[in-house]
Amino acid sequence: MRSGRSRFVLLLLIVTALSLVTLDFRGFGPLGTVQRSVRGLFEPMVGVGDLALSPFRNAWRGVTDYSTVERENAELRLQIEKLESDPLRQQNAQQQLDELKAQLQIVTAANTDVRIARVISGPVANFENNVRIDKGSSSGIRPAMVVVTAAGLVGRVAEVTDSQAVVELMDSRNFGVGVRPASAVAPTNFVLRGQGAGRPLHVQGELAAGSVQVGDAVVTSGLDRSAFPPDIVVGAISRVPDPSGAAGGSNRVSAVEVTPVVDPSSLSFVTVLLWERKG
Amino acid sequence: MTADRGVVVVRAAAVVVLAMIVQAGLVSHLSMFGVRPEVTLLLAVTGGVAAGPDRGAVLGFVLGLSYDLFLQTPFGLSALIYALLAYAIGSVQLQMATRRPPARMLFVGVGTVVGIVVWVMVGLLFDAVAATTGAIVRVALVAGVVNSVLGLPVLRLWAWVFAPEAPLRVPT
Repeated sequence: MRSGRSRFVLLLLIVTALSLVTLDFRGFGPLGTVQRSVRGLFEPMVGVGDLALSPFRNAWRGVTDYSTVERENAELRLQIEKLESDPLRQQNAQQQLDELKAQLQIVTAANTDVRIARVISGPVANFENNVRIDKGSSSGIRPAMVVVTAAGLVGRVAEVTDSQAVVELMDSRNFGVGVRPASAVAPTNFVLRGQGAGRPLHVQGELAAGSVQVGDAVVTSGLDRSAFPPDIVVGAISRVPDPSGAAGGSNRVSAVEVTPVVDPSSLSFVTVLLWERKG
Repeated sequence: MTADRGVVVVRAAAVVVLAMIVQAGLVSHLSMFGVRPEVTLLLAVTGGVAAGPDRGAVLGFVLGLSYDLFLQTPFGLSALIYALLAYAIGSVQLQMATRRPPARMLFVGVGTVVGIVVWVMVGLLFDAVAATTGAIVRVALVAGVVNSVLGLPVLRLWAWVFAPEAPLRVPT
């Protein structure tokens, strides 16, 4: 008898969970609203807990990350020296480009309203690939808005509550972005797909041999109805397989890889572009 | 609902809320060998060990559902897996009815490994998770060891939660 009741409770829980999964997959609106509301209730408590637990967290990171921080510090010094080497010429060129685009009324990341947000935490769980920021819908942030740093693309807003947002990072599986080589003379647009945290992005499909080289910068194409404004730096081509190795001596290359320019593990502040896709 | 049952529900709810605060507030900043602590899974597994299959399954469901609020995976996925896991662990524990600490640590460790592997497999099935085999093995092993060490104090926490009611089916 006890066993029968026990199985009935388990069955009820399974059916409820499967129903919730199904409703979530079908984008059932009220479920999302309830989720956001309950998460909104948790957020102040998590904030207080976060503050209270910060001494333990800092102590732990001091113990486990000391050598990493030292190495990053040295790398950053090198980068600063490199960046300081030629700033005026870059500044002048960028200014001219921005003015030209403004005159032509081309919508770009540079002339879009933005919100600066602080990254307050990494993913809550293993196998997740996102960051949380301290600005939400009350700051005008909406799902699918694009998130960048001064270096380039970070990802896009996946979920929003009143005071926080979750940003899906661009190396997440199934993340897609339309791009083009920054220096391409002829139009060469293609789509990049994320392969998982810390892994390079893959070019979807094939490219003409010779159309890209290792080291080429890749920027968002911003084609009509694109989810991203044009000319945001995404990364650099890091691998172009030899086309002669392809069956039949093809003049096309596949499995081209792009390494993102932004390291998601070192984000402190990000910029959310208050830009929404046309149509 | 009796007064004792009410106290148990309030205590269990407090543990769930605390677990969410720790998981979302602390865990998101910590990692060991690139692995984040699996606090909610630890509570679900130990809930099954401490409270048996019936109450363990309900605890696992509530913990998983609360966890799902913070995840990008389909809502209800963790609730489904944690409920099944706590039920299975509770059933096995009930059959063996052992009180020896090493055996209980082993239960919690193995339960954590199974929970992670099943969670990722189901996540892959829904195309909601990206993970290499190496990452799955690393996360499962590290979290399994960490949770088995933390298992005994957490079992005491559950013993406190269920103390006002009738003794646990598997005494701690």
